[in-house]
Amino acid sequence: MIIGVDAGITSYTEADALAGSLPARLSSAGDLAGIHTATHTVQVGDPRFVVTAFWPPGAHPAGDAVWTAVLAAVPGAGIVLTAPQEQDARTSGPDLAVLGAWVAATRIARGLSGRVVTWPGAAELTGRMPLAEALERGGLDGVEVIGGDPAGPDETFDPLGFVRPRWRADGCVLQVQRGDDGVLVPFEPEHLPR
Amino acid sequence: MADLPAPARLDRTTAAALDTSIPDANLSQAQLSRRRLLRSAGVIGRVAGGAAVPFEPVVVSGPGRNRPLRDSAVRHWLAGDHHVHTVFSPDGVHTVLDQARHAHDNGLGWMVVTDHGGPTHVRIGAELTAPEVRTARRALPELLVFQGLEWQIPAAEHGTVIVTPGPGDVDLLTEFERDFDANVTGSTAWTRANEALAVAGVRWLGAQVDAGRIHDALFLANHPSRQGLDTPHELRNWRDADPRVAIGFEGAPGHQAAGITAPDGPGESRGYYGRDRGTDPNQYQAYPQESYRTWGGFDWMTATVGGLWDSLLAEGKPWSITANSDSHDIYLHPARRREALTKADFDRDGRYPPPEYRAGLNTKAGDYWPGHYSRTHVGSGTRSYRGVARGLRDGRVWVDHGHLVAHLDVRVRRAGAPPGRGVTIGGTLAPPRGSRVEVTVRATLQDRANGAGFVPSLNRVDLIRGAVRGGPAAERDRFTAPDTRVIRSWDTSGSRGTLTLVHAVDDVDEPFYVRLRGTDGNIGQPGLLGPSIDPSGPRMDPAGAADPWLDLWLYSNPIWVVPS
Repeated sequence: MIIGVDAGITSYTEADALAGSLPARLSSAGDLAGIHTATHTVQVGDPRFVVTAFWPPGAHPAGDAVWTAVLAAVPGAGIVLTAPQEQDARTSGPDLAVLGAWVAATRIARGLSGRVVTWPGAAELTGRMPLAEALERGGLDGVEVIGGDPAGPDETFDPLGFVRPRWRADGCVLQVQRGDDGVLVPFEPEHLPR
Repeated sequence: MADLPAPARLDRTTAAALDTSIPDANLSQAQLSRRRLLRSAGVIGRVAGGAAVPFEPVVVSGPGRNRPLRDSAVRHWLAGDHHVHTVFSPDGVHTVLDQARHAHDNGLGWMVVTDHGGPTHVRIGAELTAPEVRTARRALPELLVFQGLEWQIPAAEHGTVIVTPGPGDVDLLTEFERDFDANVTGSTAWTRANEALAVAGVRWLGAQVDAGRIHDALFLANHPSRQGLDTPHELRNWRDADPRVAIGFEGAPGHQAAGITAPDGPGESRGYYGRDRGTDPNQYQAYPQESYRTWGGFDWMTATVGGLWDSLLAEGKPWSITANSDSHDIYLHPARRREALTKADFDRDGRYPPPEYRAGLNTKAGDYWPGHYSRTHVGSGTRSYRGVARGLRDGRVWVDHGHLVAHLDVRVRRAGAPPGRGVTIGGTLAPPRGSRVEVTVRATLQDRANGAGFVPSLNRVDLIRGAVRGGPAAERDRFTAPDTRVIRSWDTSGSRGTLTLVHAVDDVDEPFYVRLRGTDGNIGQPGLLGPSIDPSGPRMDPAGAADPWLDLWLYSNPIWVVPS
C-alpha cells in the first residue's frame, strides 16, 4: 500500500517533519508495523515536496482505516492511496495536488526514488558500528559509496545521528561518503550548508 | 514546471509521463505516448532559449571594439578574483578597502566587489558602495577594483555581473538588479517564467553595451553545482542569449577553507558544497549525488573530465572557468562583525559598520582573502578594466589553487613554427587539414612560498583533448562529452625553474580542443567517468576532512584547433 500526500510544502525541514510525523498521525488506523515514509521533490506544477507512506509487499493495515486516518491527518492536501500493481487509486484534494501525490506514489511503486525518513530499524542506527552490522540492525537493503570505492563489511559506519536512506528498485539503500579518517558517514548531513 | 492545465484523467500513466525525472527510456509505451501528447501540448518541456547552432567555428565574434585580441598583443597576465563580498552584503564582514588591500598584497591585479543582490542592496547598498570603491582605487592604484553584483539569478544560483567603470555604471547595475535579481523580483523558484527572466537579464546587459551606455558587461555563474539549481539547459540558454555577456562559470568555488577538520577548521564540506539530492524541490533531478560535492576543490561540472564543461566545449562554443575566494568571513582572522548587529540594522543602514577585533581566531570561518588561495589569471593587452574584461571574454584564462605555479603559457602552433608563436589559451588555430600541430606548455615553477608558507610543487601535468561536434538542439540538457579524455600525462616532479612540455598531434583533420590540468599529485583517484577517460583525477572532497593546501590543482581554458 502506498499513500501520497501533497500539501504544497516547499521547505525541506517541513517536508522532513511531515514524513517523520506521519506514523503518529496515522495511528488511529491500527497496527502500522512495517511503515516507511519518504519525501520526494516534484516538479509537475510549481516545484515542491510531496510525502509518501508505504508498506513494502506483505502486511499492511486496512485500506479504509488508513484512508480515513490520512484524510483527517492532512486536511486539504492532495492525497492518493494505491498499491504497486494498481493503475487506479482513491484520491482526494485539488487536481494538481492529487497529481503531485500520484507522481510520488508512482516513484515508490516503481522503486525509482524517495528520500526515506521512517523505516523499521531506523532507531537502531546509533553510534559507530561496522557497516555489516548497520545494514543488518538498521534493516537496510544495501549501501552505496558516493564518490569512492565500494565499502567492505568491516568498515566503520558512523550515523552521526541522522540517516536518510534512498528508496530504489533494490530497496532501502544507505548512501555514504568517506569522511575524516576514512570512516563512512551519511552522504546527507543533518544540517545543510547555508 | 508551472502553467500546467489539469489533465483529463489523473492516473499513474499520466503521473509517470509528467514526471520528467523519469527518462523516456524508462517509460512504458502507454506512458511514453502520453508524455509525447503532453509535450506537444506544451504541458511539459523547457524554455526554448536561443536556437542551437549546428556548428560554428569557435571564435567569439563580438562587435568591432570587442573583437578578440591578437595573441601577440597580450602583454600582461593579471591574477584576479571576481567574487568578493563586503560590509554591503547581509552576510559580509570586511570593508571594500580591506578586501582590496589583501587582494593587492596577495598579488592580484584585479578584483570585483560582488555584494548580494536584494531589496536593501538595490535600495541603498549599491549607491553606498560606489564611494568606497573609488577610495580603494585611489589607495591602491595598481589594483583594478570593479564594482559588480552577485546576481541572484532567477530560477537558479548566484552569478557575478561585471561592468567596466564609467559614468552611470552603478545606475545601470542598479537598474539590472531592480528588474532581474530574483531576491528583488521574487523569482527564485524554478519556473519557466523565471528561467525566461534570467535569459532576458543577460540580453538586457548586452543591449546596454550595444546602446553605448557601458563599454562592457560580463556575467559568470557562481558555484554552479552547489545546490543543483543551474540546469544544463539554463547554462546553454544564458550563453546563447548573448555569448558576449554570459561567458562562463566558477570552475572552483570559494570557501576553500570550509573543509578543514574541526576544531582547527569549520569541519564542513569544502566550498560549502554539502547538499544532497532530494533536499530542494528546485533541483535539477538528473544531476547525480556526486555533483553536490567539490572534487579536489573544483566544481563537479569542471572537475569531471568528459563532464558538463566539456559538453559545452564540445559544441564548439567558448565557456570559461574561474577560481575565486567568495570571501565573506576569513578563516583564522580575529576581526568579526560586531556581535549585537542584526539583519534589521543591515536593512536600515544598507551596510554593516567595519568589523571589530575579537580575541581568538575564527576557526568557524571558511573563506580566504582574495588571492590568498584561489586565482583567476587573465591575459590582457593593457593593465586596464577594459583589458581585463576583454581577456575574460576571449577566454584567455587559467586558474590555480595555492599559487601552484608562478606562470603558465600554453600554446598550440603548427609544427616548425618558432617557439613563442602559435595561439594561446582561449584562441583558435586554423591549420590546413592534414597538418601537424604541437601543444607547447611552458610553466614557470613556483619559487616563492604561498599563503600557507610553503613552496608548492607542480608534480604532474595532464593534457585533455575533446572533439568538437556542434550542439544538436535536442541535447540542451546534456552533461557528458564522450569524446573528451586525458590524452597525455607528464610526471614533472623534481623540476625547477621553467618547465617545457611538448605534445604533437599529427594529421589534424577534425576540429578539437585541448586544455591543461596540473596538480601537486598528493591526492587522486580515477575520474568519475572511468580510468580510460581520466586515470588519475581529483578525489571527491571528504566531508570535514579536506585540507585545501594538501590538494592543489590548476586548470586552463581550452585552445581550439579547427582545420580548414
